[in-house]
Amino acid sequence: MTIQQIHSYEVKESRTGQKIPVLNGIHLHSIYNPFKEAEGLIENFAKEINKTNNFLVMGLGFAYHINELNQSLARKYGQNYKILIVEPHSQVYQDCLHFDLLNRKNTITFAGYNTDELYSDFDFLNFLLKKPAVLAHPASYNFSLDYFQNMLNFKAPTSIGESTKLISHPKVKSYLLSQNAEMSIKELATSLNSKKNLNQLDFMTLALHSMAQKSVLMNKALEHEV
Amino acid sequence: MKKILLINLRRIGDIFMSSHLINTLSKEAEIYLLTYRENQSAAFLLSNISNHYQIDRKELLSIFSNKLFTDALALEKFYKTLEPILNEQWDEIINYSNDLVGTYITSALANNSEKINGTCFNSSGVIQFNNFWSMYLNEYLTHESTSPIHLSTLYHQMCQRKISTSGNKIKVNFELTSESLANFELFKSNLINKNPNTKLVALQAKSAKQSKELSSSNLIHIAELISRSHEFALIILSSPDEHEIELTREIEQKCQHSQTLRLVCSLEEASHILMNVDVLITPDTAMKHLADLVDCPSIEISLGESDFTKYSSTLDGSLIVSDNLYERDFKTSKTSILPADIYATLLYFFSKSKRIAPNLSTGVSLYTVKNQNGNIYHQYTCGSIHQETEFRKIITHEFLNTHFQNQKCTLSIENLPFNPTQLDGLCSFEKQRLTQISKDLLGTIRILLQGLDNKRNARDFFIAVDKLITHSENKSILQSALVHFRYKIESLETNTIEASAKSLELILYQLKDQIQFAISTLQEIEKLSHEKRKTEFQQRESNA
Repeated sequence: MTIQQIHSYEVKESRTGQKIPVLNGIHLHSIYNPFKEAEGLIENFAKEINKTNNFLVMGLGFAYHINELNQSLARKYGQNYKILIVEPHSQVYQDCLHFDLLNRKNTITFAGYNTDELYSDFDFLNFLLKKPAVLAHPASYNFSLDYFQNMLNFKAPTSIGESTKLISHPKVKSYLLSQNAEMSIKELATSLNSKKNLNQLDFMTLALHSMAQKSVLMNKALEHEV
Repeated sequence: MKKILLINLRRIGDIFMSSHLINTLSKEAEIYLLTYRENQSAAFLLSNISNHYQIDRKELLSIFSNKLFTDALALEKFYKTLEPILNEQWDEIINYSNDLVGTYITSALANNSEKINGTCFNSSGVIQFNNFWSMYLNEYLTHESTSPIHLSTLYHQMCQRKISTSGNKIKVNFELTSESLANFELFKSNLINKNPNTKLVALQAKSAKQSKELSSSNLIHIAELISRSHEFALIILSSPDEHEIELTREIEQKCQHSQTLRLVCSLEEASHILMNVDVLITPDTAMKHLADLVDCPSIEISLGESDFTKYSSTLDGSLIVSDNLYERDFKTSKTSILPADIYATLLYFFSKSKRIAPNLSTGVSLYTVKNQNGNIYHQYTCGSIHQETEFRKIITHEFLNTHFQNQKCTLSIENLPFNPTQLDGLCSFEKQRLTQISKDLLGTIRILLQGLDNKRNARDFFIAVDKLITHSENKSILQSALVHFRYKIESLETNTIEASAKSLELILYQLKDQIQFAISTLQEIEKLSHEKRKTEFQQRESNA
């Protein structure tokens, strides 16, 4: 999915004097008071803030909501929190930095990445593994609805051939490159049962696969118990 | 110093239990431990660990089961986690887990180690056992609900070590120790009777599985009985889990207030509490194993799938209350054990002479843990008994000790819970079984000696071997030897019958020796029984 084309881009000022990006005629923040708007948005996330110290924010805009979130998290967790921001439009991000509007403390921003690039990035993936709360900045989200929906509905490649592109460790990469590119890891594990000469990574693949199968069995048993 | 890696991907209780083996090994080597990260709170408490590696199973499975991530990333992450271990050269690796994941990891590391203790696969994917004990664990014990050998003893045998009892098996936090001691002194000084000799009885209510627990009404009843007695003060233990806190609060409310203390504690705090109590009453829990490591005896209420014959406390004198082993349902918590049985057992535990055994409900048995230099067994103490099951358990334990560990026979007729008449009957019943196996074995050897070069002989031979193998599925004191026999036959790697003939002959003669050994053990018992009968008769005569 490509990033939505911008036909017009301008920076306006709100009545309270804050800068606001306007994309294709759409204001990404309140034209009256962006601070108040940000406060209201973050108040709605009080439960999530109490639950987790990791937030994935869809849409940077000019960061009024991010800064508000940053303050709330700092109050609750001190230094121990993280905000990952995804902003489809590089121009918005650059201007946000240019006007020095983003409090960058404990934040990572992915700006201008397409979905495949996002899901190839280890920092991004590692962050998702922490099961962050997801906060959509309404105006940014609606403006780039296709982009964000595509991001949320992403399905990683299952074939070894496609997956290997995401692998950086040389031993694991070379192991995967020596396998049938059409197969998935699960199919590879199954095929290893009839392989004659198993090597170290074969055993590791089998171990991982057994771990996953055991977990499925355990979950089923738990469901049964419940 | 040698470097030994112990792989233990089992639960918290098993991690605590492995500390016995770790303690033994630490006398000669640096010990490295591999566990799942979710069990780190337990692994962190163990002494004698040079380095602790962890697999973040939850994270790996999040990647593996989530469509956002490619499975290859999970493999890479898994490899990176184990890379420090894979890059190391080990003197020994111990597959303590003995599950599939642990065995695959052990197999991946096989080329990095001088020696593997336990099960692993060779490069052809064929299962390999380092000795009889790892074979016995896999081929027999994993399918059986009761065992003639305690797993702690078995793991030591598997690693060819003798249990060392000296040394700390758990880290001691001196601050927590003194804090815990002071709190208990204060608690004792506030008791109704102000008696410093009041026994502190800890009660662990919850287990990891509901099937292993007594009902909450029964637990409340036990707690009531203990707290009402002025001989005891009750310490109700609870983890910080919400449901457990709620249950223990409910128990506490029904107890004599001044005689009861409820403590919500972490595993580390629990270990220091257990250091200061006289006994722990518990179902099969990690707490039981933790108590074992700090020399706190336990009274185990063995329910559901928990098998005390494999996993009991190892402390001499600990007690186990169980439903009759023969009739017991190992799948549900259905039980005949009543609160009064537990209370009676508690009184028996603190009795000095141990002469008066408790009067238990019908169908309930009491066992005492005996630990003779690391040889752990469960002595029937009182209650319901199924004679054949008990006899077979005792004799198989002896058979394993004497035949496979080359130890001296320690069987004492005085310790057997049977009178001479019962013993005669049991011996003769077992001998009949052995005679049938013996006949089948001799028939098989005869066919083999006639030669396997003609088709008819070869066919008869296979039928005869198959018949012998089926005996391994029947309960007998020779079952362990027959399982070993089956394994050896199944793992013969020669291609032709002629090539196998020599190996087969050897295996068959080994079994013949084992049968003879078992028969002579039974004959010895019969002899002792006759002697006892004679002595009793002479005593009666002289008294008259």
